[in-house]
Amino acid sequence: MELEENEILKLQQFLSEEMNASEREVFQKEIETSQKLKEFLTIYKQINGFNTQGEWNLYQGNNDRLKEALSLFQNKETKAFSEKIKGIEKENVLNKPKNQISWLRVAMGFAIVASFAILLYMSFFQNPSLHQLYINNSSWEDLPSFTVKGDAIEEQKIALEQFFREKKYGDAIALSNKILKNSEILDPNILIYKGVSLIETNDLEEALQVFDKLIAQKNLIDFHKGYWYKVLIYLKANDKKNALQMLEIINKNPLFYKHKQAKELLKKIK
Amino acid sequence: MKDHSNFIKKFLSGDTKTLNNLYTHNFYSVEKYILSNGGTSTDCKDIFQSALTIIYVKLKNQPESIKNFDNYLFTVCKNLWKRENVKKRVTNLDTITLESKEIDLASFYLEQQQWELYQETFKKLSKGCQEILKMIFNNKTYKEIVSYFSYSSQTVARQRVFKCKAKLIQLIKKDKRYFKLK
Repeated sequence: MELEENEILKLQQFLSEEMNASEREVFQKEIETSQKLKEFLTIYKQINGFNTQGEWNLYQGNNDRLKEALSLFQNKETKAFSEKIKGIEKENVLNKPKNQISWLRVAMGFAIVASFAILLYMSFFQNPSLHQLYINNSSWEDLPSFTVKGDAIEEQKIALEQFFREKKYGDAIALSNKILKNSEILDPNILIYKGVSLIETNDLEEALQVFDKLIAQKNLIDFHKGYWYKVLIYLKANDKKNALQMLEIINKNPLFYKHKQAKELLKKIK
Repeated sequence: MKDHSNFIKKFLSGDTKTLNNLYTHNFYSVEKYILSNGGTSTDCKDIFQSALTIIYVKLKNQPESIKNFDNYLFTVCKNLWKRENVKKRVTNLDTITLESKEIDLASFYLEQQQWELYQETFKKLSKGCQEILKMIFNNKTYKEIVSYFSYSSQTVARQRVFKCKAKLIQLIKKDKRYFKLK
């Protein structure tokens, strides 16, 4: 059953804390006796839960649904699969075979230790290099994730992310160009994936152009992310002057992406 | 790129080579994410195992439901890790009940479906609503929202946020998946 206009208004006042104490008490009693008000508030809370950083909604729905789901995990086939996975894990994670990937990880381990030692030295005797700051700040884990099903363009976006995570940057660049050409609406995330792929392949000039294009789209909510990525490009290119210029722009705008990090970087570089 | 349907068949049959490849190609990025978000090596292994079991159950019941396996695996691992941190915060250590692993997985199975429903429905909102809600979910203040959208006051901004959330709720309730997850 749909909510009435006055119910929607009361909900808004209730949630925005615009009601006084007695109005609040009256409305809370109304909520207790109204299934549709309770339902609205449950979903409202869940929307906030799923979208807030570091939050998650633990299931509090129907017990029958939970029992039904539980039976899927308690059946023989699922249990057998689970046991198989445990065996595979022992092979792969605990007893890493001596292969190229294992060597890479050992080498990376030494590289990390060596980098740490260099970093320690540099922190005592000199400021960290711009390249080191680039390494420290270029984590691509917070790039957007395309996993939601949709039309053909959405499917291509999923493939684009896949290419990127597999470090197939050439393929990622080619696909991003295709998506950009065929899309009616410019998706800033495609520009970001293209630009970051270009950074990874050291095509820094073209990466700058991509992020300049992003910055030029002032109607897009994420346009300012372009400034941060340009900072990373300039750090990688050891261009202190331009890195500082970008950091100053971000520092002046608290709403801009990575504002806090930019402020900290400014102190380190200046 | 994998031959998708053939890959899914092998995954569901527990093909050793296929499962080995999943570890080789995917475990490292999951490990990197969890370790850099406060987890331990044990957490990484547990989360990865749980994610594969969840995906197995999902594909058994809906074979065509995952378009990109690797992306989906990574997303499930991220969500499992978020959930783990929330559970640690909300669990009352004095009255802890021993939940079986299967109950935990079953609960997450339903939570993940809810999450997917909400993410997909969010994309059906107008661009304006999506923009303003993204700002709220990224912890921007109403003062910042007023400035960005040039609203006349914070009251107007709050009303706009509420209307967009109410619209989202209306769309969620209209989706037939909502009733299967209530």
